[in-house]
Amino acid sequence: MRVFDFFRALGNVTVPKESARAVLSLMVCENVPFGKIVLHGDGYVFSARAKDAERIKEIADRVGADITFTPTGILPIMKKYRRRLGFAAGAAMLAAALIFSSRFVWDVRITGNERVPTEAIEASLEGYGLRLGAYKPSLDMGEICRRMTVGDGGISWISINMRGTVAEVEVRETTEAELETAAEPSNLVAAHDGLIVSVVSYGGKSEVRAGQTVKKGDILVSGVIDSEALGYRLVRARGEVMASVTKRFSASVPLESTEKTATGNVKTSKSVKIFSKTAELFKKTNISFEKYDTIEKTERLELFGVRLPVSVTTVTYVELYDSPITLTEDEARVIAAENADKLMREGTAGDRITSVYENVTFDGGACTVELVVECVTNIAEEQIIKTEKK
Amino acid sequence: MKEKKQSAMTRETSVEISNGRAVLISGCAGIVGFSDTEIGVSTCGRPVTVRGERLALSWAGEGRLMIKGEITSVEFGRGK
Repeated sequence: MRVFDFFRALGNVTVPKESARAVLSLMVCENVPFGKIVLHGDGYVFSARAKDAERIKEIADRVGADITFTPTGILPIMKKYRRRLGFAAGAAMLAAALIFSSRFVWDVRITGNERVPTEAIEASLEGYGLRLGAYKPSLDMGEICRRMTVGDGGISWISINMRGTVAEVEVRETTEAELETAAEPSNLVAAHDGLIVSVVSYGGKSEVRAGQTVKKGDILVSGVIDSEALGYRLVRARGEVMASVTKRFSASVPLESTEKTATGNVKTSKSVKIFSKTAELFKKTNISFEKYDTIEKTERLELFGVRLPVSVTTVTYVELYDSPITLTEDEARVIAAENADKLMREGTAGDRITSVYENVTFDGGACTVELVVECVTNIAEEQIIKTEKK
Repeated sequence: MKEKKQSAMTRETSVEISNGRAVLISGCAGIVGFSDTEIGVSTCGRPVTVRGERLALSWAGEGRLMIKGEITSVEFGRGK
C-alpha cells in the first residue's frame, strides 16, 4: 500500500468471479470509481472509496452478487481507537510536530563545487546561521550569500533556495584568472640547498642563474621590481628554478617490537543527532579496555527517500593487546628498505633522479636504511611579501 | 457538480493508447467482458475491444477506464 493511500479512506472490495463483470460494468456505468483489479482465490479484489461502499453493495444486490467491503489504511485504525483520547492526542501532536518542524531547515544540499570541499562550505554556512535545525524565518539568505562571497573562501557566487525544508545551495567557484588577479605579491625562495640547473621566470625578477649554488631560503626570483622610471613595485613572482639537490630518506625497523592485535572484545555506543543536538541513545558506555581502537560511523536517516535531519552515530571500541614480534636482521632490513623506498617515491614525485645510494646500519637493536638521492627538482617555493594594507 | 453527475452515455468516446502498454478509454458505459487477453468495453458509441497479454483493469472513474498490459490491438466493435 502506498503511503498516500494509507491516509485515504479506502477499502478492498471482494467480488465473486462469476458476478465480477456485472458489478464492475454497473460501477463504470454509474461512475463509481475503483482501483486495480486482482484475481484472488475464487474472486476479484479491487480498491474503492469507503464512501462508495453502500453504493457498491446496492449495485451488488441488484445483480445478486455477494460482496464484502474491508476498510484499509488509517480508517479501521481510527475506528478502533475512536474512544481512545490518547490516540487522538497523539495524532494531533504528530500533526502539530510535522507543521512545527516544517519551519526548520532539515537538509542543506550543496552543488557546483569542485575545488572547495563541501565540508568547508557547510562550515562557512553554519557560521552564518544556515545549519540543520536553523529556524527558517530567522535566516537572511541575501546576507548569507553576500558574506559567503566576501573573503578568500574560493566562492565567487552563491545562491540559496529553500525548497520546503531543504536548503539548496548552488555555488560558483572563483576561477584561476580571478585568483591570479587577487594574488598578493611574493618572492620565490629556495626550498632546498642545491646547484641551479635552469631558471625560468614568468613574473618578478630572476636573482640567480644556472651553475650557481644556493642555500635553503635564498631568494631565487624577487617580487620587488625597481626601475628608475616607475620606482619600485611589488608583483607576484612566478617561475620554475630547477636545481640538483640531495634528498635523504630513512626508515628504521626494530628487531624486537610489539604489534597491536584485536582480542575479539568489542563494545559499541550509539548517539543520535537531531538537527544540531546530540543525545546518547543508551546510557554512556563505560570502556574498561586498557588499549582499544575506536571506529566511528555516522549514518543519516532517510524516510521514503527523504533525508531527515537525524543522524545516528555508532562508535565501536575494539580491544587491543600488544603481541610481541621478533624479526631477523634480514627481515628487518627488507621492511626498512621497503619503507624507505616508499618515502623516497613520495618525496621525489616529479623529480628527475640521477643517483640513489643506500646505507644500512644496525644500531640499538634496530635496522636503519637510509637512501641518499641525487635529483634535479624545482626548488622554487612561493613566499608572500607582507605589506601593510591600506 | 452538474458535470460530475452527467451520464456516461452523453459523453464522447475517446481512446488513448500509451506506448502499447496502457489504454485509456473515455465515455465508458460498462464492461462487456474481461479476461487477461481480451477486455470488451461498451461506450456511448461503438463498443471497444482491447486485446493483448496480461491485461488488467487498472482503474475506473468519471466514465474513464484504464487498461494496462501488453496491448496488441484495439478494435471498435464487438469482441469475438
